[in-house]
Amino acid sequence: MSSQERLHSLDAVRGIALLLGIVLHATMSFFLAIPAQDSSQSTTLAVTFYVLHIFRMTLFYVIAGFFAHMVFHRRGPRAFIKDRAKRIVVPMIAGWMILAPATIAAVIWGLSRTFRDGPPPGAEALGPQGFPLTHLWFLYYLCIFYALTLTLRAGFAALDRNGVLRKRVDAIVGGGITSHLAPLALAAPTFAVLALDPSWTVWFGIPTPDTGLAPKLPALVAYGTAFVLGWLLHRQALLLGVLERRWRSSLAIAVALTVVCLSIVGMTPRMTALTVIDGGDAMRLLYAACYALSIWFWTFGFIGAAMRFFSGASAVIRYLADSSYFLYLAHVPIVFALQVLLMDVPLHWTAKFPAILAITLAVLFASYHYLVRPTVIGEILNGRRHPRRRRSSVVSASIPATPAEPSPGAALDDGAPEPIAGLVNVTKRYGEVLALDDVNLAVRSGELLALLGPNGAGKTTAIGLWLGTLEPDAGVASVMGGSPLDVNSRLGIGVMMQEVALAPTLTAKELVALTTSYYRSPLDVDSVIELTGIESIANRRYAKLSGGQKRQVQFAVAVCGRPQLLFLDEPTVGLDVEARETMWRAIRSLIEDGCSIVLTTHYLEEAEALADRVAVLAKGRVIAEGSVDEMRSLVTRTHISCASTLAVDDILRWPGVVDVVRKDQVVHVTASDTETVVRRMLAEDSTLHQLEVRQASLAEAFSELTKEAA
Amino acid sequence: MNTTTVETLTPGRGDFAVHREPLPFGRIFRAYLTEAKLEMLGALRTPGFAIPFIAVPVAIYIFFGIVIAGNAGASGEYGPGIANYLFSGFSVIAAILPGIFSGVILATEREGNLLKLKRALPMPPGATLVAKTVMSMGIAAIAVTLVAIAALIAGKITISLVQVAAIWTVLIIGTIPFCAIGLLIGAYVSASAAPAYGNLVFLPMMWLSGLFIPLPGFLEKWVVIWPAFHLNQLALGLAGVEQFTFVPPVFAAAVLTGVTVICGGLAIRRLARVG
Repeated sequence: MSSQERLHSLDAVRGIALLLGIVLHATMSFFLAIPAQDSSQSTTLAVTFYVLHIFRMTLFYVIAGFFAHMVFHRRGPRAFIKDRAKRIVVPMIAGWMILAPATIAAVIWGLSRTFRDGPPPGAEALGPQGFPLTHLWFLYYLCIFYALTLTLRAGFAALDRNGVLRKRVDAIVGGGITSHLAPLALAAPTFAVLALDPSWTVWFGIPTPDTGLAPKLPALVAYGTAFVLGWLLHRQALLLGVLERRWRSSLAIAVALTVVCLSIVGMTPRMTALTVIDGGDAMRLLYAACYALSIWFWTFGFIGAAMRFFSGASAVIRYLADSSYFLYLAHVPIVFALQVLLMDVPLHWTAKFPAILAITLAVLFASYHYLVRPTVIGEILNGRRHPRRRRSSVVSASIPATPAEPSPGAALDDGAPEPIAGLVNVTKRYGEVLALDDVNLAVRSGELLALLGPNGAGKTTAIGLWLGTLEPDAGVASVMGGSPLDVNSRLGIGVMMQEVALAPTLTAKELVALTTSYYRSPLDVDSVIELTGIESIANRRYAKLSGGQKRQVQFAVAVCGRPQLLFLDEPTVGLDVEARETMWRAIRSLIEDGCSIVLTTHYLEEAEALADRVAVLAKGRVIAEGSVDEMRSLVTRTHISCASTLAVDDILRWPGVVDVVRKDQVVHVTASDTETVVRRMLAEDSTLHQLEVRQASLAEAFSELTKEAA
Repeated sequence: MNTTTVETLTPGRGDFAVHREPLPFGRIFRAYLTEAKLEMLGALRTPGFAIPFIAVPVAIYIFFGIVIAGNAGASGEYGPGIANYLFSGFSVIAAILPGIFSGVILATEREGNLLKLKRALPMPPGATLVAKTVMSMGIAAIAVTLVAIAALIAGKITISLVQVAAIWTVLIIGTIPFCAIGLLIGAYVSASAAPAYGNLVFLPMMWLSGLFIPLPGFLEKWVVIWPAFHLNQLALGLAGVEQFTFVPPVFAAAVLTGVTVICGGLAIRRLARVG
């Protein structure tokens, strides 16, 4: 296991220890009177509290010690103190000022509702005894441990200049852990302070030191042991592997010891006799021993299990681990307030307890995600800020608005008017597939731009980017001078997509009427129907129409808003000749009215008939762009055919000849230099007749171009 | 087209900004209204949607709630008041059905690329979901009205007409969280799977919310996990039917609001990118 993997596991353990603390506090009202006594009491939740309380803080302090040693040795004493001041002391003080009043208010509210007839007898003993640290005591003790450890370490380092003592300590720790003696040794001090304390509230294990600034002995001993062990464990982190191998047996022993403890002390605390154990002193010693031992078996079991299961760098685990610190800091007032709020609601605890947890976690995760993680608070708590990922759309939307930035079209043809739609350096991927690769395209006002290209060339992707149904991975897409993601930019556009199913139960007329409601100054429904030639089907439901009729209705929907910019993705697929003629007529009349159109098509004659300009896409790149004539001349080859007696092999050797085929009398020559070839043919064959010279069609130019691109 | 024409038609730089002015509020409102109206029309014309959701609740109410349980229940532990509980329980079923299954329509539209087309068109962004919600409320209103008429004719309920009206109103507004559940289903699953998922949510909820049959003790504690239970409680609570108000209306309303926010939020989040 690499050191990185170890850190993931231990990070997860720390997160789990903190999150279990939220669960622990959420159980309280269901068996205690603090912060409020719920109407539905639960032994199950009492036992849950009991078990979590055994180990969660010890677990936390072991990890805290481990990371403290790591930071100290990686970054040196000065940086260590600075880091701890920022991440522990600042949250402790700032957090206390906000959280302590809220927590205390919730407790007072809860107690006043629980004891409506005044405080119960013996309430004095339960009241606050000293400065209310609240649950933030864990940070206070952490600071104490840092201070003590640094002091002890300085003295130790002064004594142990040659490192012999260090080696001995390492050997003791290593030997203890490999030989199973560690839990016994570690439990001993805790056992001693608990067993010797006559005021020990037995059911509550290590008393929580949440009041009073003077350190409490049991907590200092029990958690200090844990912290020091963590510190020493980082010196030989391979020992964690031993815990990993034993995670099952450790947890099994922990469960057994806990069962013994519960059988001695009872499932719920006896509030009238908190310090008493039935069975006399022997039983008391047995209980203290089992309790202290179970602390360490639980702790080792959990660390081992985490090493076993959380060593992978899962994003979810890391997020949870990151968030757990904030969640734990902030949860108490929320949990307490919910407990007080729900205390008299006549529901079973199986409903209330999950509800309290769910609401608390929802509130905390939402506030963490939006208010903490991306802000300075997150930086203080977790050491770094995680900026929320902004989608490129946000950037693209802002660019046209700020004059300092180049407008999307400017990069294309400087000095020319802003294009009505543009793609600037746009790249779009679908997983591994590169659909568009650094594409620049501009649609000028009033023109019909035909996008040509084989299947999968990126035509529909380009249209999707202009429509805002896709977002570029890089680059900027714009329509009407704004971002396609802004609905107002799209007020001037109309769309006919490939393969779309309109609402089946509505009529063509209703569909057009619905779409016109989106626009500023649409055509009226009847003139749309007339323009697109769908009078005969206007009152039929969409589902009842044929494929071609459906395309006609989609075209009507596309043009009904009187768009300045119209996208037609293969509009005439599946249309009969008459319907196609009608659509072409409508398209021409739209262009005459000043509408700009982007058309993708497989039918090259459609582009030749309608387009002002053609852009040829292949494999996600624009491989050629220009007028239909320019496109033809880009491929300068011509086809020469004539009846001639010249030998095919001879002609093939002439300069300017690309290919020669003979069919009977007729020779077909593909030439790149027409004039020279024709002149030579006429010179060498005086009988030559039926001469025909033809420029390549757009289809030939297109297939030539895409072949070259491939 | 020659270059001269192109130039004369070319607007100057920045002219597009005029076209990017937002529509006036009245126009946007009308777009929402048209969308909702045609959504309702479309649903009423879909035989598989409107008829079962309008006719089935009143039919089962008459059969189970009036004919079978009416007399038997009156002598039970709750007395004649049980008729009120049965009325509101079956009304809840009538109210939640169209909402949950509106997801089927949404899934179909998503798969047919209709949502993508509408996302490309300048449709106001919320119009689809609002229209589906209004449509569900409309169908629910018809269905609950039929149940209420049946209840008033049968004459077994002991609550006043005002209380019936209060229950009716709460239930129609209370359709919204169930619509959010339906839209969440529609946003994620395929059109062919959407009815199955709708039933997966609806059937257990119908039986386990304690709307019309007594539940065994261990299940009774768990009714609180079902939004339908809370809708029923909210309706009974706000109508002042104290005999059957088990949780405070505020709590029920909070749960329903939570369901709406979570399910609706997830659906919107998903639909903003997919479909």
